[in-house]
Amino acid sequence: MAEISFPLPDLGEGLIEATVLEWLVAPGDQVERNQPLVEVETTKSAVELPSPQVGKVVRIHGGPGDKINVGEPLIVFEVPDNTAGIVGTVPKEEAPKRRVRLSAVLDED
Amino acid sequence: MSNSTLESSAAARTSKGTPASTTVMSMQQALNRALDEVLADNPRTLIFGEDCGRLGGVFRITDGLQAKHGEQRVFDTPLAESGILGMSVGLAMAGFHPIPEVQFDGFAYPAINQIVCQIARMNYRSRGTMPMPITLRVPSFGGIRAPEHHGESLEALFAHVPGLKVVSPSNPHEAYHLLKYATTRPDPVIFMEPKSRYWQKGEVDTATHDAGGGSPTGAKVMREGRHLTLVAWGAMVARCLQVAELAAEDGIDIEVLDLRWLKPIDAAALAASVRKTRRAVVVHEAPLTSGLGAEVAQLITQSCFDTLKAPVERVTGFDVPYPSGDLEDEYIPNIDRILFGIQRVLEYKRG
Repeated sequence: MAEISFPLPDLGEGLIEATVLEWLVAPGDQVERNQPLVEVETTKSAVELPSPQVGKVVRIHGGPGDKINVGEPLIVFEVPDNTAGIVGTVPKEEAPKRRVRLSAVLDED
Repeated sequence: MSNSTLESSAAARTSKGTPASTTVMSMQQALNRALDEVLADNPRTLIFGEDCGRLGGVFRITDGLQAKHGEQRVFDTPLAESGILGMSVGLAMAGFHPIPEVQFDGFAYPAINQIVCQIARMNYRSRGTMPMPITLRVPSFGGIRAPEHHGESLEALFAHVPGLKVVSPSNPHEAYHLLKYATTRPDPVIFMEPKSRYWQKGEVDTATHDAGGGSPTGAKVMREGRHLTLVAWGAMVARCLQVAELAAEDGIDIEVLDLRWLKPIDAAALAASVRKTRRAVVVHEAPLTSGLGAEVAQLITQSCFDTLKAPVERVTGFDVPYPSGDLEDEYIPNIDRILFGIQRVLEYKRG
């Protein structure tokens, strides 16, 4: 397993920090891409941050009321080694499903 | 044509024991192993690209190679594809065999000038004094819910350029052997890796590419059948094999031809298969218009016009920019769309 850290991004233009309002996930949670992770407040607005990736939450940084600087760690994910760093999602191998059936009179000429 | 000889050869192939040289691995691991062996075999080979060195590639294809073969032979480049391919031209001129990577299909566009105007024609331009033995690895096609520029199918674009060869493996075994073969070629080869198949495992026999003595060039029959030929490459081969299984439930016996080499296309294999089945459907992820399916359909028509039971059908992506992940399943040919294509061919009536 590999750990991937997600630092607090600049949420506006030139903002330098944000205050944690509420964590929506906890260590141990399995999160999906775009799932809301945390609500933070900047000098401009309060926003929910979506998860940049799939993974298991290992650590979160800062509790409600704590300030986090842009570029400092916000959350750390754990992902399997063979998917670390990829852009996108590893496809699941599923049993083939069908709705269309074939019909034909095959004349063997 | 008699099917008995084909069936008996198929039986001979499936009944043979698994050789000791066979291991089960993912396509990632198969490609990694091939590159490791290529670096060991040929001191002129170099691997480079964005994140290829220290990280081992975003898809882990070059994982561990820098540690094993050194920073002089496996290294990271700036985020500049024109630079990656431009450097490949210079290295090839200096006698190296570069194996560059562009991280995703859509990032080959910034390097098209280097690929088309230099790599493809330097040998021609120099009257054979500057061959371009370059193996360009391009993680290709869709299927991983990635953002824009990460799901493109560029085979028709590359295949259209004189001087380039284009190949795409469909499973770990083919990936291992086709990559090893491509890296021994004196010509530039665009190696299109089906990224949605990177994690699927399969048996890889490192000793023999084709136990039947087949060539590493040309197409390969992945399943034999009597009623219709499905032609595909890359990730669509696995899907077509699933479709063939489902069609068998309806009594339709489908042959699946893995085209493998998209330039040059194995016209003889297309002719041999469709002469037997008399019906063909081409499947690809790329958009329909001017896609490689048109070329395949024409080659089949030219050699089998007299015996074809129906026009060659195409089941493809749509003439739109590759969509975002949420719409991917609607874009890539799925099982039902391929079955509909087969049904259109089966029920076609002349006149």
